This record gives sequence, C-alpha cells and structure tokens, in this order.
Amino acid sequence: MSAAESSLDIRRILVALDASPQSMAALQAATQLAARFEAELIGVFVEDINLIRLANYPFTREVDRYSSSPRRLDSPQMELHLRAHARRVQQAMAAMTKDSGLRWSFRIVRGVISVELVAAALEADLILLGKSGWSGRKRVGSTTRTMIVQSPRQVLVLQRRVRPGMPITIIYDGSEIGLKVLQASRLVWAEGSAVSVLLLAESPEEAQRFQSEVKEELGEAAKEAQFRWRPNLDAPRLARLLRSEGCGVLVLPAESDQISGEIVLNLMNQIECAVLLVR
Amino acid sequence: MGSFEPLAPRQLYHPVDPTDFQFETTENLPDFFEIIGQPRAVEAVRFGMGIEKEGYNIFAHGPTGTGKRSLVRQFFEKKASQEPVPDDWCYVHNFEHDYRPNAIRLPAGRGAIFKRDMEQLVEELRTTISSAFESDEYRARRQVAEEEVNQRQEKALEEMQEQASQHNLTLIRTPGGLVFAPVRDGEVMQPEEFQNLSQEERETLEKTVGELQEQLQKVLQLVPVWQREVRQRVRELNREITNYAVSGLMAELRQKYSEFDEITAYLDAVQKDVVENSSNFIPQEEPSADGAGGPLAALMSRARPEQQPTRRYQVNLLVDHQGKQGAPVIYEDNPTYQNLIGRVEHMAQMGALVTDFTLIKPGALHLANGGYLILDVRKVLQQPYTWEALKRALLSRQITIESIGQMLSLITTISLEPEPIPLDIKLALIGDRWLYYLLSQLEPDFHELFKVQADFDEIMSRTDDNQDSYARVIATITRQEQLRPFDRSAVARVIEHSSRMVGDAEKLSIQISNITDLLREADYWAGQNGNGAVDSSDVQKAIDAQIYRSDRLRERFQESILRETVRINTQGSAVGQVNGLSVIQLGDFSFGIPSRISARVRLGKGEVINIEREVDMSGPIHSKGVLILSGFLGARYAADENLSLSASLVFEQSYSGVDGDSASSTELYALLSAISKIPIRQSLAVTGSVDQHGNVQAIGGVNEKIEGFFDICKARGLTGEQGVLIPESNVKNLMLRRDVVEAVAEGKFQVFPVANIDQGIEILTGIPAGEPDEEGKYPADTVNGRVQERLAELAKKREELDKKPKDEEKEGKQEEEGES
Repeated sequence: MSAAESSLDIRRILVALDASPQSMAALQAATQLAARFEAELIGVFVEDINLIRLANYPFTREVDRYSSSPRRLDSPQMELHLRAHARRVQQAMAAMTKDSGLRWSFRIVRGVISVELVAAALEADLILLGKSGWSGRKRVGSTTRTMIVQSPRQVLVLQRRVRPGMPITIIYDGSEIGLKVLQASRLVWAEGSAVSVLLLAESPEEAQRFQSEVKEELGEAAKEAQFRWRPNLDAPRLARLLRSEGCGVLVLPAESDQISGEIVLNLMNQIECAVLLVR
Repeated sequence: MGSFEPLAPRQLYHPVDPTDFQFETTENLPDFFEIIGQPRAVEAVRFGMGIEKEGYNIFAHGPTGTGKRSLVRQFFEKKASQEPVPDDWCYVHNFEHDYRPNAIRLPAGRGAIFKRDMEQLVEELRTTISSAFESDEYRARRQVAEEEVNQRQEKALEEMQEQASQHNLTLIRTPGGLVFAPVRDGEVMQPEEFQNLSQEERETLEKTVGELQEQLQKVLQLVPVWQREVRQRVRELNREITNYAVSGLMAELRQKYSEFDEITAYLDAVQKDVVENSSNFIPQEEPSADGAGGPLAALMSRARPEQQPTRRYQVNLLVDHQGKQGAPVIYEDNPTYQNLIGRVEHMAQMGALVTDFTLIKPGALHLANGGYLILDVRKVLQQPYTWEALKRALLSRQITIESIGQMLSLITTISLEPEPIPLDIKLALIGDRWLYYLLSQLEPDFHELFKVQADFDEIMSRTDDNQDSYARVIATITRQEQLRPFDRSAVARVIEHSSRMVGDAEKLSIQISNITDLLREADYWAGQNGNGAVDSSDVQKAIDAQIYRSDRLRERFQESILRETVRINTQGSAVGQVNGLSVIQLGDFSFGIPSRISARVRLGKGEVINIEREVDMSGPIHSKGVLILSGFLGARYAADENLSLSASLVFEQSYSGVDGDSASSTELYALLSAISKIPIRQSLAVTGSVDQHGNVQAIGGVNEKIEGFFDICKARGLTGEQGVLIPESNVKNLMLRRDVVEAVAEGKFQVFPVANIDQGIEILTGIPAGEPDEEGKYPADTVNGRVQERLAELAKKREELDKKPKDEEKEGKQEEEGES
C-alpha cells in the first residue's frame, strides 16, 4: 500500500449481497479492494421484508420469468429461499477470502433493503453493490437508486466483473468534492489503466487550470491521461462517448453543484461500466 | 570278371580346370548385371512389364533362391525410373455426407501444397473472422439487435408497473420471477393493514392483481418470440460478416486451383460451411486448467486436437509424391488386408471409438498406384481376406477402403466409406511353382488377373561361357556381401559343387541363395584360416562343414551297418541276394545307404510277390517296378510256356516305406540269381531301374548312392573288389567325392556303367549272360541258359502236378527252391 493509497483511509468495506451474479461481481471486487487496502470486509445480506410480506397474501402469485407460469408463494418457502441464498453467499465469501488472510464478517439482516443498507453503510468507508440485483436489467434498480441518493459513504456500483487495469474515466469539476474524486480514483486505478479525465469547466482557461490541478493531484497516474473539456454534463452524450471509447470504471461525485443525482441516475441507466460515486 | 571295364577316374568327376580362367581372383572380374540362366523368366518379365493392358500382371514362380524377387524388382525399378511420377491423392471432408470423405487427385507434389494452403487458410480465417467479429461495426450492429429485445421487454414491464401503481400495487422482482403486491408508502403493505381495508377494497385489489398477472404472463410469453427474432437477425448478421471476411481469402485459393474442378467444388463447400459455422473460428473461453470445469470439461475441451471444430477443413494427404523421381516400386513385406488396402483408424474419445477422414491411412496399393507392386503370394494367401481384397481391387480397378469388420458386418460403430480411388498398377506376385499351379487350377479369376507367368529355372547348362558368367556372378556376390575375393581355384570348386548340387556334371545350379550361403561360409573359413583370399580348401571346408552339420543320421545308419545290426555284405557271394542302394533326403541334405535285397523262388503260377507291397510299405512306383520284372521274366525265358514259379522279393531290414523304381534292376538280379542258383558278388552294389526288355535306365541320386556304399566299404577296408553298378545313362551325372575318385584311381574301387541286365548279371556273377539262338534257347553254361533251364524244369513239374488227382495234389510236396 502506497502512501497515496493509505491516505484514502479505507478500513472497512461493505458489500451488499443478494446472490445475484452482479452481487457476486461486487463481492469479488470488494475482496480485491479489501486485500489491497488491508481493510475489513463486511458482507451484508438483507432478507427483503417486502418479499416475506407479500408471501403472506393469499392471492399473490409469482410469475416465472422464463416459463411465465404463475406460482403460489408462501412464507415458509420464501424464508427457505432466502436462507438458501444467504448460505450460498456466505460460502462464496468464505471461498474467496480463504487464502487472503482477510478479516471478514457476514451478517443477515431483515428489513427494507435500502433502509438496512443505508444504516449498515454508516459503519463502512466504502460500499459495493450490484447495479440492479435479480432483475439483471441495465437500468439502475430501486435499491441501488436509493443508495446512490442516500448513501452516507462512497459507493461503487458494478454491473459485471471488473479486472485490474480497466480504463478509468474521471469527471472533475474543480469543486471541493472534485478533489475527493481525484483521490478516490486511486481506489480503482492500477498499473496500466488508461485514464481519461472529463473537465467540467466554464471556459478553456478554467479547463486549463483544472487540468493542471488533476495532474498535480494524480501525479504518476495522470501522466498519460487524456483530457477533455465540457461546459456541462450532458448524460446521453457522455454515455455515447463512454460506450464508443470503452470504459471500465467511471469515477464522479455523487452530487455537486453541476451534477445532480438525477443526472447521475440518468447516466448510469445508459452505460454498462462500473461507477464509483464519491462523497 | 567279365569284359566290362569300370569307369576311369576322369569319368567320375567333371572338374573345372582353374587354369582355364583368365583371372587370378574375383577382384579382377567385372560385375555381372544380367540375370544368369533365366532367359525365359527374363523374357516373360520384360513382356509383362511392357504390355500395358488390363490383366497383364506377372506371376513369377520357381524354387526359392532363384532370384525371382530381385529380378522383378530390378526390372521394375529400371522401368519405373523412366516413368512419370504418379499423382498425389488426398482425402477431404465431404460436407454433404460426413461419413463419405471425398478423394481428390492432384499432380505429384501439389498435394502437400494444397494441404499447406488449407492449413494456412484456417489460420487466416481464424484471425480474419475473429477480427471481423471484434470490429466496432459488428459490435454496434449486434448490440442494436440485442438491445431491441431488452428494450421491448423493459418497456412492457414498465407499462405493467405503471398500471400497477395506478391501483396501489407494485411489481416486485423476486429471485425466481415477478410478483404483484399491494403497497403503501413505497413498501409492501403489511398483511394486517390489508386486513384493515374494507371488504370492497380488498376484493378490488385481489381482482386487479389477478388481471395484472394474466397480462404479465402474456407479456412474458412474448419474450422468447422476440429473442428468437433477435437470434435470427444476429445469425444473418454473422453470416453476412463472415461471408464478407472469407470471400477474399477463398477467391485467392479458388484462383490458384481453378484448373481442378474437384477442388473448386470443395472450396465452395468449405466457404459455405465456414459461413454457417463462423463461431468455430472465434476463440472460446477455455475452462481453466485448475479444474474449474472439472475433468469432464477438460476432456471435452476444444483445445484437444481431435475436438477442434476446424479439423474438418484439414487435408489428409494420403499419397504424397513430393520430391520423388519416377514411378513407385513397392514391395510389401507384410501384406495384411489393411496394409494392402489401407485402413481407417479410430481414436478413443470419452470411451467411444470415433473416426474421421483424417484417420484414413494408405495401403500398399495406394502407395504403388501408378507404379509397380511386388507381393509374396504365400504371404498374401496366409493373410485372411487379403487375396479376395487384392482380386477385388484388380478386377474393379479401384481401391475401396473397408475394414474387415465392416466387410463382414461384424461391427456397427461409426465408420467411414471413403470414396474409392482408381487403381492403375502393375502387380508382380512371387511364389512357389505349386502355388501358381494350384491357383491356376482352383481360382477362376486367376488367368484374368495374371496373364504373364515368369517361370524361373533352378539349373542351367554347364558350358564354358556359362562357367565364365558364373565366375562373374560369384565375383558380384563377393562384392555385394563384402566377402574376401575368391581365387580361381575356389571359383572352380564352387562351380563344381554347384554341379554336384543339381546332381549333374553337365548342369549348374542357379539357386543363387544356396551359392551365396556357400560363399559366405567359405569366406568365414578363410577368415578362420587367416587367408587373404578364399581358396579351394576354404570352399571344401565349407562344404564339409555343411555336410558335417547335417549328417548325424547318416552316421547312425552307417554305424548300424558297420556294427552289423543291419546286415550288409561287402565281400563273398550269395545266391538270391544283392546290395541295393537307396537315398534318404533330409531337408536339403541327402545321402545314400546300401540295403540288402533278397529273392526266393518256388514252384508257382508265375507271380512275383512284392513283400513290401503286401504290407503296404511299397510306394506305387516301386510296385510298378516289381510288376515289370515278371513281364520281363515271362517274355524272355518262358515265352511259349507257363511261367511256373512263385517268387518273393523283399528289402531286408527295411522298417519304413520303400518307393522309387531304382531298385528294380537290383531285384531282377536277385531274382535271376535265385532262379539260376548262381551266387552273386556281395562286394558290389547295384542301382538302376529296368524296363520290360531288360534295359537299365537312369535313376536319381547316383552320386549319393555310390558314396553311400563306398563309405561302408572304406570303413571295412577297401579290397579292390568292391564297386557299384550304375546305369550307363547316369554317367553324365557323376560328380563324386574326391576320396571316391582317388580310390578308383588307385584301383581300390570300381564304378561300372551298365546298359542292360545282361551286362549287369555278367559283372555280378562272373558268368557270361549268354545270347539266345534262333529258337530263343540260351547256351547252357550261361546265366540266361541256367535260368531258362530252371524255369523249364519248374514248368514241367507243374504240368505233372496238374495231371495228378486233386486229393494227391493237396498232399503233394510243395517244392521250395533257393539257397541262402
């Protein structure tokens, strides 16, 4: 761990788990990060209270996603389902951390997922979660949406497995949080990652200034970085750019003067790369 | 002794005079490239080779060691070197029928190029296609297609969600599916809360949920249809992209092979197949080696050569004539069915045996196609089904690869039926004569297939010219075998021995393998003796050693005679007893031994009893010889009256069968002695067959027979009286051992040539045989006279006996004659 990395002060990493492929990708990334920062890994499995509740209704039916046939739901069965998922997640976690010597813990809580996660997030420095859970959709799921808006800590949202050395895109707007964004980008930066920085500036002069700020802050990592200047953040345009250039991880503020939660959500709905939201 | 002269020593052995040779040692002699002594076979092979019509295959037959194979091979190779190199043959995948690989013919050397071209094509296709599929345009187009179905699905679900929210419901995604549930403040309503709702509200909610579920079902049922549409579109896109990427590469190849219709058709099929199966060329993620996919996955891995989907674009170069000169000449040493016809091998894949066209292996017929093939007929006949397969290939003029199991319908695993390859071949079968005659008698197609017989002789005339050629053959062999040079005395001795091998002083053996053995062995003895060049003593040593190695049985026979277990007299005289001579053949070694033949006579009805025959120990030829005797006796001595004697003849102390007629003169002498009561000299032995007129005729093995008697006499001490009577016509066969010749020169042993019985009996008895007068009466003091007289006596007694009453005859004393 370098000095720059230790300055990030990541001691606890929380990963939200629901046994979906996306959450497994999150778990893998979290394990790697925990190993790198010698942080403690906390796995949280939330038994969705909504699922348990709705199983109590006599008239609700689960429509199978593939066969489209309706299925009767009952609570014991639903509990069983959830427990099985939890066990699978725990086993996967044990397997992944087996040889790393990581400190890790796993717990199951019951409640509304987003509420429980927001609460749990308080004890961690970084939260990892899948983008849309079981639906597997490209759009941001409801839980994630809540976390994007409400999470007290930085959030890394993953849609698929990440690997070290993926290209990184950073959005910098010169604000206070912008500096944090630059620092946080070290979380996902690895040797060989191509870095491109989008400067949100009102004038070319400002952009120029921003660029030197980025260079100063990032040092080695920004040596071969590519810089772009944009007066404002236009979500569809940026999405197109990221798609065509190929993007591994996008690092941006969760909210700032120029970037609203609305824009972030809109952007995330259109791209496939992992997103690190910095607070 | 009569007036008959024994043979002079020079008649007993026809030596080769070393001084007649112009050379000192074989080093000075040039090689002999022709084939010695086989003009007929040479002519036949030349003819068979030259005529290019169907069925003119060659069957070279003759004794072993006559150079059949080397002659045929030499001739074939010479002719083949002038002929063009035949075409290459490849097997390629048949894209219409997997199990019927296609054969492709290409000019010599092009096969290997074609194979390389195809390998390169696959390599290039791999990069071209995968880069085409990695291109941004492709990805974009594919994404657009795939995105559409997702969007349609999501849009439909969003609509459902919207509808649900209008009724205070929400669409919840569970790990297994989708559920509608009533909500309050964004959370699923507590069941208690639900119970607090009015009956009406509850019923409405329940009803709405039911309706929405039905709608949802319909929407989800549509998803597979959309997905199918997308897959179809993606497939078309893939096809389009591949075709575009591939056609350039293929066009290049098609241009290169435009003159070969088969290949252009094949390339068309390849292109079609590649376009259909473009995914084969895109690198797949392999199950990792650490066993993530388990051992089963590793077994099924596409990385294994036998599982590679691009295997079917390979070219199996079956016959490759790259860099060859002339037509092929193949000698298949082990002509099994598969070695001849070719085979389809199998490989084990997850416990099952599978095969494909790349596992087709050529047979000798493929390799020799367009050229010459030599096979050993005995081996062909020994191998099951090989003869049938060979015949079928020759008759149909094509090679069809079929496994034996398939042929007999024994196995039903997946196998191949490779396209037959046209056969154009000149075949030479090599084998024994009897196989040729057997096949020609029993095999109906034989004469259709083997119209040329090359009959190899084992002897040739011993003329001066041939002797010179023979010397050159010896020189050639010594050089081929890297032997010491033979000096001319050694060459002379080899030629003499060659004569002796065929038992004829006027002939030479051309079973070169035997001669080669002798040369090798003589060379060995020369080495043992420290001679720089092989001389006649080394050759003699080699001959003696050969004999010594195989004469154990002869020694036993001679020993039993010398110890008088077997009684053979070599001096004195006896009535009705003559020394006969017989030959025993042991493999390629034969030797003569004397045997005692005796005759007894008495009054009878003219029958000569062959005791050997009575006990079935007489071969038909021997029996025939004995019957001739009674013919001779009756006609000569009792032409006008009854032959009133009964005689019995036997090989004494013979415990095995007797055959051949070479003892018939001996038996006649014994008979004449028994009738006339004139004793016969036991110091002489006799051989020769006799005809009904009393002429003595030639027999075989004369040298061995003389030596056989000589050895016994010599062991007992030569008296000068001893000797052998041989037919005059056998004199030309004499090539006697040196010690025999020397004994004759010193007057210790004699060999009498005999033309007829009268000469022989005179020598054996010392009494003239006698000439008949005009009435056919012989003088009384001659052997013939005594015989005639005795027969007349017997006839008279017989007449008297016949006149007596029958009861008296029964008691009548039966006269018995003969002395021992």
